[in-house]
Amino acid sequence: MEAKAVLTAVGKDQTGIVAAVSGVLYELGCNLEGSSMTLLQGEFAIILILSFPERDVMKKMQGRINKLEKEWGLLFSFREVPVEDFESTPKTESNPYTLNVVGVDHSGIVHRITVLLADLKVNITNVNTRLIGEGRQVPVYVMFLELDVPVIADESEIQSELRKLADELRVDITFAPVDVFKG
Amino acid sequence: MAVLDVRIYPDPVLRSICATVTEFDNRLRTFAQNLEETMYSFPGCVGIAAPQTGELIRLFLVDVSRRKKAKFNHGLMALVNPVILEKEGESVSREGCLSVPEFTGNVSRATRIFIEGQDLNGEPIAVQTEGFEAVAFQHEMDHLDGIIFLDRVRSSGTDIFRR
Ligand SMILES: [Zn+2]
Repeated sequence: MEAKAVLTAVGKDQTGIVAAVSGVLYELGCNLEGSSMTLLQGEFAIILILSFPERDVMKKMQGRINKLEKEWGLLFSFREVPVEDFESTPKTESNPYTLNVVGVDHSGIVHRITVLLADLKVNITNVNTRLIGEGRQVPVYVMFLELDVPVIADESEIQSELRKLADELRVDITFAPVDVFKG
Repeated sequence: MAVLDVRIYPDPVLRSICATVTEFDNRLRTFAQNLEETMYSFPGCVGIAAPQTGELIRLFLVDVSRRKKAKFNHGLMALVNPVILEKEGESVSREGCLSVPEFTGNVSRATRIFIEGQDLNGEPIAVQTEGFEAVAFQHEMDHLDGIIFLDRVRSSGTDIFRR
């Protein structure tokens, strides 16, 4: 029986981490269905979707993970996900949008914007935030979000709610559809 | 008219270099009509190249007129034996492909292009365009040379920050 799992790892970035993790997967005959890795100020984070031809193989993972944790000083999490959960995930029809926020840094920007998006049933698929010009008198906060907006959502309502919030937070918010070419 | 089967990667036809069209006959025009119907059968599709249906000839169609945000828009165009003569600027946009379902990625393309070719009767045509329509021409042009957008993806999603 096929089995699937999610593996995550975080820790200090070092050359060779990805090779070490993928080496273990390869040895166990496990397939890498998808992965996403990023670095932030020298910190490494990766999330992997794994599939195992046999559920038994998966049991060998924990021992290997413990070894990797010691060798690389990473923090892993490993969790089986029922195969049905991947296949039957109901995908509401949606369109991609980007939301950019630029402004003088103050607490609560991320929280207020993400709460509003959740209330509007907009799903966040990618988040990138940075402080630029740190050390200067007025650090500037930038946030780039990728969003999945349900097709049934009212774009102008989202637009006007965001505008209100932008005024209140004194930041600039740009909300725009991603024009996906298809051919 | 008929909707043709669209070839899906890794079908080798998608990696082939297409042949120059020399006969501008009814067979070519009938094929172009079928190609058109195939393109319109996919919601949101704004371009299609002959090799995507297994016909290895230098012909593609582009029609961005149904995208209200496309500023530069020549309506439905069939281009035979096209050559991009000028490219200017560079911008990144999100692309997907009928032959690579369920995946989109960010691709860098020229912002403005000047393209020459022939119509379905062999008459010379030239198009100068920008933005979304220019992306369409460049994506379809690549298909004629066995290049798919995956070869040109810079990043699957946001990649604004230098790491
Ligand atoms: Zn394509």
